[in-house]
Amino acid sequence: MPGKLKVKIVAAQDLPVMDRASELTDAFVEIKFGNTTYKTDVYRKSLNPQWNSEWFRFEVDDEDLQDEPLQIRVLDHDTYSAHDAIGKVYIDLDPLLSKENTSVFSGWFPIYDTMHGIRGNLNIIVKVDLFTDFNKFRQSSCGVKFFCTSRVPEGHLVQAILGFVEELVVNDDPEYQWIDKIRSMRASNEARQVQFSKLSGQLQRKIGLKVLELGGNSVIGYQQYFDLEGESGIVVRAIGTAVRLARLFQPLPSPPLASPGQECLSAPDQGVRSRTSSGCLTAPSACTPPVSPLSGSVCRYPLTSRLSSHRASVPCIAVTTATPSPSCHSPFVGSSFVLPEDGIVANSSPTTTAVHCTKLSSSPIKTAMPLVRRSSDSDIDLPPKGGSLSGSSGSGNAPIKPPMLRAAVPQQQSIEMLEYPFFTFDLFPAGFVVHLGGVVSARSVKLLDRIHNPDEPETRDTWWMELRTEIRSHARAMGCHAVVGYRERTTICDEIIVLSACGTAAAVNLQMAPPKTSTLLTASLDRTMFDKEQLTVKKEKHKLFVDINLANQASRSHFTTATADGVNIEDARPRINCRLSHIPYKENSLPFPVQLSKCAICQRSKVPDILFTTIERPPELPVIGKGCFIQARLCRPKKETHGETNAKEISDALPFMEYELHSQLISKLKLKGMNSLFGLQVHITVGECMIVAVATATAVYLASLPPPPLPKVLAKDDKSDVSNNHLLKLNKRITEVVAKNKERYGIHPPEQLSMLFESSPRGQQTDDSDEEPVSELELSAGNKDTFVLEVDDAEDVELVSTLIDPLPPVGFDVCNTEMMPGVPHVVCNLQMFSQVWRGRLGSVSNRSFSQVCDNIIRSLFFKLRAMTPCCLNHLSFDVDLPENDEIQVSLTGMCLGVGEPPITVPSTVPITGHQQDTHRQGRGEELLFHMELHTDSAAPGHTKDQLTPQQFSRNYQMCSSSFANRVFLFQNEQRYCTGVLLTPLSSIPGGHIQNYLGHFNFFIIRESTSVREEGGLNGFMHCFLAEVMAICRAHVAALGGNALVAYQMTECILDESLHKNQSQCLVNVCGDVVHVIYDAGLSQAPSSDAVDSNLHPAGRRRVSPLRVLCHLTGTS
Amino acid sequence: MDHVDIFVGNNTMVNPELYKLWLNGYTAPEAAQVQQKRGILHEYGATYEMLLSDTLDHFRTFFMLERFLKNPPSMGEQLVFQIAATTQRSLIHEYYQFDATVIREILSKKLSSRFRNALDDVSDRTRVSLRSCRRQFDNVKRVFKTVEEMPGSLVDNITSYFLLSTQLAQQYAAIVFIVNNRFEIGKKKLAYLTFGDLVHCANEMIATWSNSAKDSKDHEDVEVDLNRDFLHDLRDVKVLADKEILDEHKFIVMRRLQGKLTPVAMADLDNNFKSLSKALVNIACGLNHSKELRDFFLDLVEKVIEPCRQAGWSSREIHTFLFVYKDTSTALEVFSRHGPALRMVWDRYMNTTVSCLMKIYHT
Repeated sequence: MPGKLKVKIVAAQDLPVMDRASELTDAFVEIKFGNTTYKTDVYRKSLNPQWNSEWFRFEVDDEDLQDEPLQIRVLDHDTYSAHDAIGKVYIDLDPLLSKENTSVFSGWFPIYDTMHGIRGNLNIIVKVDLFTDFNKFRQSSCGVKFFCTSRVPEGHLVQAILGFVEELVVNDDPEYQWIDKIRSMRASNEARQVQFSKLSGQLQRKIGLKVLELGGNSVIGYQQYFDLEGESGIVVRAIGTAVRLARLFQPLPSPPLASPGQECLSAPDQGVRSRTSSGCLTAPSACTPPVSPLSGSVCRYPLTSRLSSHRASVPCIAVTTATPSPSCHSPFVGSSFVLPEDGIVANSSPTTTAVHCTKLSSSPIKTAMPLVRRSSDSDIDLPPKGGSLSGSSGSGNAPIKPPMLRAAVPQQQSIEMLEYPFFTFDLFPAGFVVHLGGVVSARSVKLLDRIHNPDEPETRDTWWMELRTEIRSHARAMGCHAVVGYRERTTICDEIIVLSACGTAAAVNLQMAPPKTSTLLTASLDRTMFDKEQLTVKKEKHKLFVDINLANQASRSHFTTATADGVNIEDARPRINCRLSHIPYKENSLPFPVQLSKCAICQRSKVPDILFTTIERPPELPVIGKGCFIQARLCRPKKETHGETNAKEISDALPFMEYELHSQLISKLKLKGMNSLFGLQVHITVGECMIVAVATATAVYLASLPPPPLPKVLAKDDKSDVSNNHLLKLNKRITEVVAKNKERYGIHPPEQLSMLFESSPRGQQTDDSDEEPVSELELSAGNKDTFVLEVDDAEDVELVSTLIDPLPPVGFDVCNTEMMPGVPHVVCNLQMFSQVWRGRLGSVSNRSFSQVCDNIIRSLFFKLRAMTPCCLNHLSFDVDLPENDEIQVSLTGMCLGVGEPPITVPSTVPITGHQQDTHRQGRGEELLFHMELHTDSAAPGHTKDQLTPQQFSRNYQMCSSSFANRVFLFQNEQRYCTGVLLTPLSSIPGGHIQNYLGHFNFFIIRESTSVREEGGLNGFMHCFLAEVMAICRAHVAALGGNALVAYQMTECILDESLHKNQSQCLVNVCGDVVHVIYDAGLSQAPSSDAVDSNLHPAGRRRVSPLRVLCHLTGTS
Repeated sequence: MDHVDIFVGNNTMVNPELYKLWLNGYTAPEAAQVQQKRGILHEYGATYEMLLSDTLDHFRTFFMLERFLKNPPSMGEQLVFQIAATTQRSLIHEYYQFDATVIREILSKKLSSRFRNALDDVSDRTRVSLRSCRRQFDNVKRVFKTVEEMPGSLVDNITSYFLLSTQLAQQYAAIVFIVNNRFEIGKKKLAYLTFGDLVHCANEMIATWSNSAKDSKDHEDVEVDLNRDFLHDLRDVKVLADKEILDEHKFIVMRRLQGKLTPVAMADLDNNFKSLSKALVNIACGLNHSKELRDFFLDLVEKVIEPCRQAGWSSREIHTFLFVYKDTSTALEVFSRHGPALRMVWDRYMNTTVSCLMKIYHT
């Protein structure tokens, strides 16, 4: 009995009228946990009952505490008939189970009814007393912290990164049980909500156990997904990265000692260069990228047939060549499609895995990692399934690395490699990522079958295992031993499920994460130092309002500090920044056709012409100009078939779609005048009669990569219908567009980028010894300056013109990553928004779908017009195909105010601060470089869209004056954050996170049988989304937080049958509850309201009329 | 099926322009057209669909907020919308704003649901949209129902239950006062009275005649009612209508007015003094009866204003006369005979009545 749960019901307010006659309500409350139920007294005839109940106590297992939600139901007492339900409050107790966190939930919660929405508020206090249980065989994992945040949580220090954790649980969907035919909608919805909540609790507990087993204490980048498979049940699955975190209370002054971090940074690099392993050579051929025209029938696409499981996989839409040839349409030769069977041919993937493992051992690269090899299924109950794999990988750890001080840790000895070297987060500690390869992705199409035994969800596990194995092999093919920014998604349509996994192949340096000793002190100091650096960088970013460029600079100069202080200069690589973009593979064994050139910064290593990644832009990589939002959209019709033919059709179509997406992305990227993509997310959605794919990313111009060639339109042959005149016009237009884009995004790479570096005194030649002569490379430079778009007919011409995105209006910057590259001072958090659009497509074509998306974005600009100048970050698209010809797009994002830093902080501070820094180091060149960038981008014409602070401020003023006559009510107040902030970002501009208070994850269902009366579907959805946010805020406030970071709204599913006046909507929301302290000057003191809510969670919101009166007299 | 296009933000932000349009009863397409005429599309390069969708978003929010606006304290308690405190205040403030002409019309009838259904007439006459009229009607009725039977100061009650500014609360206090005492102001003759006139008079009466007036004893009583004791005492001024006293009164007034009025006016007064004086005294005595209290404004207009207006008095002249008339009470022998109580009652009555008369005497 290791836990005691105590609940007190204080009061309710604003209850609905349940008795028409008296216009009052006789309310009482039922508190249910597990199988125990308590009730309060009935509080008669009041809409604002005050129970002030005793403490209701539950003595429970900690396992249940993790799995079960606390259910509090408010009812109206009825003497003669059944009591009427008013609504419920669900509380996930997980945040109370961690020792560091508060153990009290206290505050006002919206009373939510699945049929009526929010009906009044309930004030409750929930406490958990947990007794520690050291039982080795326990099934609970209390205290393991979960972070959706896809980076190291602020104020924390990673002691060890332990690897990928995954789990999935399966159960019946109550909506599809027989009992659903006889119970009420409300009962069914509530059963579902409880079921979802239990499953996700269970899942977290299981993942927690795995983390504990690995010796970790937290999961970061925790991603949880619900697959509503319909008849076959619900699959709740989660992935994350197990880590051991320690709280960092204050940054220590950096000790001047040798930084092992520096050494290990360069080490893997050497490894890559010094040895060309034949294993690497063979690997790529095994999984040739889709875009490669060379591979012909060996192409990876028909993988479906090869693996004899219907699987379409695309290893990489990754770093690829700019000249896709039409011939690559051909590789899809009649592959003998093996019909999907329920039991997937299991031995195909193990064999591949085994192959990979052997490859692994021959490849020296991955050995740089002190990795933990573990089985993905090592649940306590189950014997590890992956046992065979671990055997073959035993040879993997022949370290090329200089031996490091490492304490022996038991778990590490037994298993030496991570089974899946995947990292689910997006922003990494400096030095963690060594090289970025490119995007790897794999998809597979499966037929859903009934899950017979929910306790052994083997098929689902196998499916994912196959996919992960494939991803791993793709990464290997790119000469990378890890995948970062890893994500898994599904799309379900009837009995077809498409599983996708996607990530960025990268060479990482786990040494970053110190040896897995249990004490912080022995943990290698480099780690401490890195984190400290990172922290100071962050601090500086927040406190001094360094713009992102400056922040980059900061991080870099900090890096220099570290090296200067710690390591001898000759070993130091102050240009760590550009290394990330250097290719991880060998030039003579390119995994796919790619044009290499010398890094524009260091002039030494090779870089690809384009870099695609799924992660945030590492701050170490310098950018020129601003980033921009980029999206490729596809919509293709599909025959309405069923079962296996359907699966075949889909898996046949997928590779073509991937290819098309990729080429769209490339063309758009070129038109933007940029050379890399970050935060790339590809969503493929399958519907009854169409398949839709959306690839969203943030494009930037990486300084280290070569400038993109100007796109050129050519008629394929002379006989084409396209007149020369037409072509000329088109080309002219493209040139203009590119110029305009360059202007708008401030892309003006200085000619002498490298010169700036060369001029710096450095003893850097040492590690270049193994560079091969550059001459080989010159070959590929032949057609480097052009990027050819071929057109055959007028239709193609039109297609080309759809590639030209309209520029966002002045005052808007858009990206889908957390940070907008190259945008100056973020002043405040303005608005987190969700937009849902659902309608018919004019026709099932790319064009009309693209138009829909464009319109949604444009209308977004219009809706947010009062916010300018602003920056829309983390714009995430979700597409659903609910009905035959309908399409639903859900969009969430965060609107951040940009502009001048507040006057209280002179803008010179960051610069002077830097100068001091650099003076201290005697290394001014980093600064110089960036100053150059700034002046350079500012010089070529005083366009208003330039990004220098001065100009931006002018822009800002211009914008604000033009809006002066239509300023929204008290916009000034809105500019500052009051109340609870919801944000999809994992950090808060203008503030720092003081405390992480727990993970919030909830599935909310709303149904209505009076849609028309509620304002139609629009009214229904609008109200529901507002209520969902309200529920999130209430949970945050009740935990004593004031913000929910990494907020995500997923699985937004809307079903309707309007002829019955009914509709139903499901939404899954999650995030990390935090307490944020806003930097003085950025945000004024929160409004009295907000202060109250923080100080007296229990008593807040009781705004006495008198107090408001004071406000009134105060202001009037 | 329905097309869905919604936008929801974590912070509910209010576009004041749209809020005004909504309050004024515009439908979303109408409001979108109004904005379009202002050139908003051109300014932002948007399409009409975007404008409409944006307008609909706001209107839906307003619609959902209306529930809380009807009970303003719940605005601060509700958790559904996160709205800055100042925005909340101005939302409420705007919601309870009204058109004087509409309220004037509403006040002239009983606040029955039948009248509510017949508001289209009001709408036609005032050229304010029917929806807006309905809202104003409902607001008046709601405020009235809430504070009707509450003890204590009307204005205070209204500010605390509706969170309105003092100025707006005073206007609502006047409305509640008028509705509660069922003053007859719907007559054609009274049609010229503006809402401002009525507010002025009502507030004067609340300040001096009601239960919470400083001269009343039981402040705790319901303020909307006039002070019973005062009305009772007021009957004693009947003596002023006695023949001898009337003559004496006229003599003193005429003497004091010598030189202050034009000769024409003096002559006129000579003829009319008695009827005017009698009218004022009768009104005072009648206030005790609710029927006559209701006719207070009608009586003032019929018996005082109209004769004066016929005589062509300027408001300055009537002002001079009324002040002298009121002040002569000190010189009258009756007052010294009846002791200070009568004089206090007379002054309390006359001060307010004069103030009302001056306000409603339009020339």
